[in-house]
Amino acid sequence: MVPALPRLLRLLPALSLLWLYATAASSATLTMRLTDQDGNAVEDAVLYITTIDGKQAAPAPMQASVDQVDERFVPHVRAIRSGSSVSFPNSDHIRHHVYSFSEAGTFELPLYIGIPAEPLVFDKAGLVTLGCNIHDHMLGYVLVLDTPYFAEVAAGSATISDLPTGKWAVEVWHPRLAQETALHLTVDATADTTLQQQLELRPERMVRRAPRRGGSRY
Amino acid sequence: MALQFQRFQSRLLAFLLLPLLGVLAAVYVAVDNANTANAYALITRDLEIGIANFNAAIEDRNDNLAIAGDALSSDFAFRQAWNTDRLTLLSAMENLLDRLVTADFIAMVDADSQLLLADTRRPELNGVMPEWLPLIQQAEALDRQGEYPEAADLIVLDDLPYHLTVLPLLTPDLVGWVVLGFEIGTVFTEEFKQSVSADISVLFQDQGARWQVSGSTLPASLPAALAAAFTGAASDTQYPLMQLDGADYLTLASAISADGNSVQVVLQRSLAAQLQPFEALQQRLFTIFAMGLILLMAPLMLVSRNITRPLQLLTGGARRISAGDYAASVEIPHRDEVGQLATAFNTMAKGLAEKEKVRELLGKVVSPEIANELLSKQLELGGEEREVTVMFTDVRGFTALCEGRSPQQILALLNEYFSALTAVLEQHGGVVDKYIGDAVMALFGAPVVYSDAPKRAVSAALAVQPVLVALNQSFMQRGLKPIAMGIGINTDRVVVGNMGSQSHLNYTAIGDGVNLASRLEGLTKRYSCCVIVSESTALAAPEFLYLPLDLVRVKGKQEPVRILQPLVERAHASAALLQLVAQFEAFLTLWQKGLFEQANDALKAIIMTDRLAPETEACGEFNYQLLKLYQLRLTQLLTSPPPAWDGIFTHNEK
Repeated sequence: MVPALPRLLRLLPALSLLWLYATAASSATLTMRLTDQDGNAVEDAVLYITTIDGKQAAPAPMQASVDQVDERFVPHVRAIRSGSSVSFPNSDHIRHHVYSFSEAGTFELPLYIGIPAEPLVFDKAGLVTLGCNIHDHMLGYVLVLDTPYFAEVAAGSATISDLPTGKWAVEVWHPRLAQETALHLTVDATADTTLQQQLELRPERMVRRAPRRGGSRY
Repeated sequence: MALQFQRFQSRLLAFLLLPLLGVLAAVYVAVDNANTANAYALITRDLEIGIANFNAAIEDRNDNLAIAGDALSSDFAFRQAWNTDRLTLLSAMENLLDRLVTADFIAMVDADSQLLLADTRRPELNGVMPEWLPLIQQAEALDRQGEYPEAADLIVLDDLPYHLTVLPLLTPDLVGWVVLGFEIGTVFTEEFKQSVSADISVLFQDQGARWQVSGSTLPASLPAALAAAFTGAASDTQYPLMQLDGADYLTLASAISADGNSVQVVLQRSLAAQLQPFEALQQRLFTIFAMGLILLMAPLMLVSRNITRPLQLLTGGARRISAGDYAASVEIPHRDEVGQLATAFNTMAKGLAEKEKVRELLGKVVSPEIANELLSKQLELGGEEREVTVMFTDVRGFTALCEGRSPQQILALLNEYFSALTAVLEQHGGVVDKYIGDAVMALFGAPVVYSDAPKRAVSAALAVQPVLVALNQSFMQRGLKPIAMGIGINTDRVVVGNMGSQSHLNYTAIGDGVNLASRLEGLTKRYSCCVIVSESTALAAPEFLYLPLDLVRVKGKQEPVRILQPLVERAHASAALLQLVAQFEAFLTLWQKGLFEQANDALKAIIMTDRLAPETEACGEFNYQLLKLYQLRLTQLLTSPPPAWDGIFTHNEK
């Protein structure tokens, strides 16, 4: 069978490629499709995995930005890894006074235009709620996460790639998602997983007072 | 029901004034009711408006406060203060309170823990559960629905009602609750009083569930009375009258707390105060009505006088007429119905006078009794058969009396005689039937029936004698010759009635009995006496002493009649006279038997005993001439005795 062995040797690169492939194929993707209670595609949500097999992965800092366009924070929700820096460019022709009183990052950028000199670093995990002091309706969120595995949900779906297979603790965050209905899933993933979930979202809060109830005064 | 009025005036007043009074009273009552109802309606409407205004005022203040509170609490610095220490926050809140002006306190509640963090009213409190937790929960519920998270209500804090407004503190997260409160007490009610014309009180239930007054515009002790009287039934639709210190208050209550009960606003208006202007009106109305009634009385009395006076005159006139004064006439110058009545009355009086004259005249022409009889019945010819006593009288020597006199003088003498005679006859109930020359025919017992008619006739006949004597004395004094009378009376059934024709009649008597009376009168000369009655009359009138005269047969009557001469009333007869009469009766018996010798003797005896002088004998004192007459007859009969003797003397002349 000697003439058969070189045949096996000739297959060795192919086999090693296959093995490599096999080891490379133990990373998976998680795709989440989200709709709200009315069946609409969910926007402004963050999909993230807190632990895999109970272990937390260390995040690597990144750079992000939250723009102000037409008196709105764009994007409405930005997810970052803790330790990342965020820049707040003001693309509007008027100044904004960006602030937050959140525990994860209390700051204020007094009235400015253009790009502030220094981006801000958020190294504490948590939710930073953004507001503009002169525009009550401006609202934005920066979700600071300790995990590198997250994705911002757009058009009702998000995908996290290069995930090691294992037991995933999947979470979804949405600014209008009530605490009681927050999603905590445990997925035993061996391959690419696609999930479909429905979220119970609260209506948007009115910023201004309603017109005087009961009709006109006189 | 018959109300008898003494006077027309009273009746008029009663029938006019009483209904008027009723109408006025009805008007008064109606106005009174209308006023009260109006007052009620006005007050009620005002109270309703007041309640609406009160609620609007609170809501206004709430709205303004909420808007101001929103603006102030989104102050960046204030939001920064929220994140710092509690004392800084409290200080910033006090600053906010000053800016707000219309709030009495601010409190902050943590959104997560729902615990009170700071309260300007009780600065020492921290971390306790707020009394207004339900409000916060209300606001949270709104937030979950996407509505603006706010709430407002009235809550009693430390025995005082407060209006609380809960607002969100947005950073922009909902991190806390701002609570703004203002008192609903005396200051509020006083301010509010200016915009409502009623007394306003705010009542709340304290911990013991008793009602207390937090603020009231009622004076003095009334708030306490109100608190005691208040029952707390919300949304009164009946506006019950509440009595406070003796005065009636129209009351309207409305719950101003969300639980519908614990805090209420009470608006009140005094009913008396509202009715006051109407009271003045009513008094005036009353005065006008009273004066109107009084003023009406004068014209009414005048009108009634206008009617009663003439009526009284007419009554007087009628009374005078009924008393016999037919000349009565009534003078009423009105031209209305009453005046017409007066005119008719006068005409009637004249007519009555006329009739009375006629009746009187008739009575004079016939006799009052015959006149009545004629007038009483339908005038018709014919009569009835009745027992009547007929009397005929005649005068002897009247022609001699009239000698050489003029007709007027003769008439005058005749009337004088007739008047005297008729007076006596009528006095005794006799009725003159007719005058025939100087003779009189009279009836006793017709037309008026007398049971003692014969007695009356005889009585009359005897009563005439002294009258005649007096008349003769008068005549002789005047140089006239005296007259003599003869009277014949008979009682028999005769026919009495109207005799004649339709156009001319007499009420008289007809019959045998009448003729006999006439014959008897004619016999008086023969027998020398004044009065001759028939046996029937004598039997019918036994009260008198009669001297029997004869048994005669008169012309026109076959049957013999006993005739007698009435002398006096038996009771007045003397013993001598009685004896004489008895003696003569005995003589007559002998005479009629035909025993002339004995009769003669008897007669002689009587003549001897008659003491009276025949020449001066008056009627009723026996009849001497009679004795003489019989003496003559006896002499004749003794000389030539008749062959047959029946005792009846026949008279052939009338």
